[in-house]
Amino acid sequence: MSPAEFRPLRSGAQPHRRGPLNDLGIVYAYLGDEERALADHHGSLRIREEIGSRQSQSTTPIHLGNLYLRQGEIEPALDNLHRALAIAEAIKVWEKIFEPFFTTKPTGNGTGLGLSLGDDIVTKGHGGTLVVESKPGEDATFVITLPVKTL
Amino acid sequence: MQDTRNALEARLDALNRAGEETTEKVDVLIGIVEALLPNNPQRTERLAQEAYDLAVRLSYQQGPAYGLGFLLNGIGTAYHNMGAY
Repeated sequence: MSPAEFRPLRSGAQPHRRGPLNDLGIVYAYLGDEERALADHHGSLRIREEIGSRQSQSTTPIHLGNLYLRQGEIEPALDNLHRALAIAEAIKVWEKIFEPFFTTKPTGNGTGLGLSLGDDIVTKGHGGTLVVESKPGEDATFVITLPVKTL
Repeated sequence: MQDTRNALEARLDALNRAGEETTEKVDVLIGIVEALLPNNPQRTERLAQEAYDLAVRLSYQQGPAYGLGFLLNGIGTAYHNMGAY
């Protein structure tokens, strides 16, 4: 998938900028077709298993794409990877809730269209913004901001 | 936890007032991000992006901030677009 194919994450949102591949990114990229592993926390576990198997076969630095990890550098890199994945995971939940048909309810209970329609009405229909803040186990707060027009 | 976050927020304010771009600021930003998880995903994203941008400017590869760039700007978006979430 080329960067040109990326689209905004939701109406009113700017598309994410692509940054340079970095060391951890190269670790991810090394897995190539296993990119799905990167989208969830299980990804780091799979990478850990992959590196673990290589570690047991050789005492030389581990070559992952363009990145060499020496003994003692692997665990910190994986810890950082895990922390980065946790942050990204939290952000993705927010991104998803405005998507059509996204729902956390069981199949058949809810269409997942409510927030998507609400977002469209507020942002596309009225040029406003729809912001959500929530905490686990507590109610969510949705803040709708609408532009004022002088009549 | 709240005390830690308050201390980090106070330190970030001080660094912002001083206009300093340091690796400490990257670590402070990430510390706040992790303290916020998953309570405020919008601020989390903004601060995570700021931490990543600063880490790149400083070539500061220690810690998770540098690695966030790939997730924030690449794979996450790609999978979003592929409907794979």
